[in-house]
Amino acid sequence: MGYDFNPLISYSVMLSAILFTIGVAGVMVHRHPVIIFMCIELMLNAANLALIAFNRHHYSQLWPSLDGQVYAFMVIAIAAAEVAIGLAIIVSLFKRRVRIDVDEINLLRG
Amino acid sequence: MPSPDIVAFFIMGAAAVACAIGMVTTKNPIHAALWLVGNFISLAVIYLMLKAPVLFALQLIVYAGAIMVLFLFVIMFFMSPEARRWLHPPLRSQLLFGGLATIALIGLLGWGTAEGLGNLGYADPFEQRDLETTHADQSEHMGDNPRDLGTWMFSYEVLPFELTSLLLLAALLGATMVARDVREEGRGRLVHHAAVEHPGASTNGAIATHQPVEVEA
Repeated sequence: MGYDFNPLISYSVMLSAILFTIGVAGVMVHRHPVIIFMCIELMLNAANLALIAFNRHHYSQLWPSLDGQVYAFMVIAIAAAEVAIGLAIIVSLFKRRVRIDVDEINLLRG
Repeated sequence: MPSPDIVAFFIMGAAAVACAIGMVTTKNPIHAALWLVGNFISLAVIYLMLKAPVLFALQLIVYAGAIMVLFLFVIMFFMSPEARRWLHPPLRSQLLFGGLATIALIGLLGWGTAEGLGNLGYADPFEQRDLETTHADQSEHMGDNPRDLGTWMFSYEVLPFELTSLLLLAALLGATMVARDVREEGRGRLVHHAAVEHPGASTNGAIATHQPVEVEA
């Protein structure tokens, strides 16, 4: 065993679930693409929190794994890449159209 | 009396949830960005409490720094007064189904979290364990320093790390391609095509004239 039994871990997992849910609600309710992107960032952060909490839980002297933190690191890198691409798409939309609404953006090209 | 780190966690967690709710309920993108910064910072403190100082620093630098600056650039550049028209309220059906799906997701995640934590030995998540005795059987070396993380990453996770660099390069090129000004760049070729196939047709769908179109470059 040697697991780290810490109440912070279970609280963190609950907080992660709450934040993820808020992010999903925001993605579904909003129509502004920039705010939808921020909600996606919120969900990625919630996932990161769960990764770090479970890494804390599973870290042991027998198998000192830090995979959770490593993958949280990679999630941050992927989030940065995703934001760059997504905001580039939004910039090109802003250049072409007056009205920005995710319900009206239905073309991949044109 | 709960221990100080529990109290600090609850303060930071409440701040994170409050900032997230503020972000979701506002309609102004700039306000949403500011709420999101608050959420990032309180989450960073929680990372620190979970003994992940590297991710604490990365969260502050990458998320609260770089990514938010990117968001604010885009918002500030393109937020014209007449563009406030799309600050419209959400549709009624959107609110209804979004709300229903949110409640269902809360139930699902609550059930899954309770089930999973029960399997891990956290049958009662609100049970207060004595931190000193549970930490006593572990050495003081808890993998909470940057050196351990670096050693682990470059010992076991080198390939994903390198693939991340490839991904960032691809994202850089992709963002540059997507955000470039297509209209200015492609005009010469488009006019050329149109002039060759239909002499006299204008390129942007306007009424065709009988004047031959000047082909530039």
